[in-house]
Amino acid sequence: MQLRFDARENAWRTEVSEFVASWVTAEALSRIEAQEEASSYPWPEFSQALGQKGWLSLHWPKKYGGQERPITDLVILNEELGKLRAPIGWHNVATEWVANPLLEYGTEEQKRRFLPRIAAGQASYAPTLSEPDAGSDLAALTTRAARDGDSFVINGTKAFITPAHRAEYLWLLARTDPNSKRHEGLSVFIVETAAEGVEITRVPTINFGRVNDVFFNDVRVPSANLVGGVNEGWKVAMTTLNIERSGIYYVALRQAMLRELIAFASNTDLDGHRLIDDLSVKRGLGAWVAELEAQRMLSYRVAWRQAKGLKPSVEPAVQNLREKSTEYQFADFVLSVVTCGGLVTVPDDAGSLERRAVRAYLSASAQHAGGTTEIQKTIVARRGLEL
Amino acid sequence: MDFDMDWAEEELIRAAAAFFSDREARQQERDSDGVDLAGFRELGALGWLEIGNTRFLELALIFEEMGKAAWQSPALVSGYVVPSLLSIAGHDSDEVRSSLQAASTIATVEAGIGSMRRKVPEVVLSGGVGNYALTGVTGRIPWLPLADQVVLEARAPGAPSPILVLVPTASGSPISSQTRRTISGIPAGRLHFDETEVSDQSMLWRLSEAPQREAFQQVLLRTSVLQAADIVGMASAAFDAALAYSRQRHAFGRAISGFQVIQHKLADMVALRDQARFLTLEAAGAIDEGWVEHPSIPSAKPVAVNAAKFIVKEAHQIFGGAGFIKENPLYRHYVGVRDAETMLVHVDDLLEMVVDMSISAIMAPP
Repeated sequence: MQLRFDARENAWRTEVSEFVASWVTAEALSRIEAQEEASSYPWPEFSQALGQKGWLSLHWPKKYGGQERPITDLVILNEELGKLRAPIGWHNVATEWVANPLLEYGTEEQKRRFLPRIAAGQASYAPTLSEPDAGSDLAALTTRAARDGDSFVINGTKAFITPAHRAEYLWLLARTDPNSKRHEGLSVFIVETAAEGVEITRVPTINFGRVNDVFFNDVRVPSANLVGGVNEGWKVAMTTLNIERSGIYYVALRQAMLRELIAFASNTDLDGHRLIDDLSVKRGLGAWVAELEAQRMLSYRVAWRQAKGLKPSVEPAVQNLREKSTEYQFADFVLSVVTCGGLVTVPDDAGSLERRAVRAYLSASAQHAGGTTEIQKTIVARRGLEL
Repeated sequence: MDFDMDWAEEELIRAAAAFFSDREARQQERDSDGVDLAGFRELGALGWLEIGNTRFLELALIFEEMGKAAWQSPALVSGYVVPSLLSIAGHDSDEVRSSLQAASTIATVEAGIGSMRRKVPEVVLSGGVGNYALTGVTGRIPWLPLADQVVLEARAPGAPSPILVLVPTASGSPISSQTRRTISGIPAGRLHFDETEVSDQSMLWRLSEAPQREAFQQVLLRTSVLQAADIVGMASAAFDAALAYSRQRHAFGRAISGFQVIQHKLADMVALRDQARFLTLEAAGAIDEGWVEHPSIPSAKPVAVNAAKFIVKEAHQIFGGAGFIKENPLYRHYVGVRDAETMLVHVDDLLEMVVDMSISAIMAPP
């Protein structure tokens, strides 16, 4: 069935689009995208501008500074941000991973303490979950949090922690009961990166960026920073996965790159004819326009369920599976077109389409963020098909 | 944000279409010739295919159920494409309605030649008002041996673009030859003309005239969306069959659905099926809204074909040897998808259209 947006929603889309476009200019993008080592393009000033508009806390309760807007508004906001390639790396962990569990499981004191700075786009967080021996099997993690009076003492190592080097806080999942079974005995803590005993080391990645190893050496965290109670961490961590989960930002981002690619192929002369007049190029472009349009529909399906108050079950996994399954082929295709099928070299201009295409290709090798394709397939099969 | 049709209404339409399609498909299996036009004519009499009376979204649901049942009929070309062309050409509603009872087909693109295909008009139109005549051979036309009338492209010498001509296939008219069946069993053939006279009323329109060329393209685009629905139906049935079989078939001491490799195949299949279905219904809804430039419209069939080919292939893998025997209904979906890919509107043409539409959108002022 076809999804309709009503007049209010369409007006909201226009408002968002105009505001974002006023910030995300070609010059600004070129500057921000030059920060490749940051991995996810942080732009604090832009995040704070969104915060000033109240757009980082759209659906929160009013008593915590939110507007209690429907989830559809958040979906529209995210789609427009993606369309315009708006960098969201500064705030998205805080708004997506931290704020919602805090709203659901945080104490009143924690909400008053942490939420206002998230809403304002001032606080930056790093999700600190995976370990050298606990990735897809997250429940195998061993980082230990031992109670000591009115605080916990953390010891262990976390791996592949993307924005830890520039975050103010770590959103940490650690084991509080070493004798418990897997998912039991875990707890979530908010840890300041400046805390004594936290050591963050750079690990270069193949896409010009970095991840981090984070070492905890007797790091003392006050009990007031424990979110959701002792040994309740799995439930809290999974809450982070139940917020706006349409994946629309990333679909829109790819659609934006494809539009650039079509413009590139239309304007590139190759041996006296336009690149786009090569039928293999044109049909390839057409196939990707069609595929991404279909993926947009999958995103809308998730959004619709959430807007109706229906908890998305398997739908986000289906969307995520299609997005991830096609990531490599998409990047490979973009790279082929942008190099006209030639040798791939790395241009210096970080904001150029060619450099971004190279980076997208390199990034596409990592399809593990948020759960590997195999994990998504298992979720679809077990939860959706009841196998 | 909400859908434009509630689930109860959708289920009602699906149930009625499924009942009808299943009955006809079973009849077709019993029929040694494999094709019976009675069901298609009944569909027309029920008014389900009547342009203007049925929402496009409803049509898409009906065609999806037909695809699930793997019911082969010329319903799409006879019940939608040709009546639409007649309607645009100015034929009155009675003529259009009566055409729903005639088996029709079109010969505007030769099916199955793909990216190396040639446009059909090898047929030359000569003469003028009062003495039009056709000479030449058409490409291979699906449903031709059963058709009462054919719409084809002919080219007049010196004319810049072809003209669409409606040709009755009754005795004394062109000769149908080289009859073959397509891979899914649809009868197909070529038409031979040798100074064959055609009436003035047979001339539908010249494709050189922009509004009519645009109208012709719109008919083909809409047709492709209904084909997409048909293909989604086939894919869906193949997926359902494979899922059910995986639960029933035991190997190495347990149902094969318990093996992760089978689970992952099924997960990929359902993800592709879902996105093809949602996109197709989005496209159908966009047509109802009159959003002719909506990117979902030319995208629907390519996405559906891509999904369906993967699904029928993987379904065969899950069935193993049991999928290779002809009595397994999976066979009909396997070949049906391959036929639908090339018939009426070619995927390659649609992919090019998708890009043209995107360029227009990119170049349009904000």
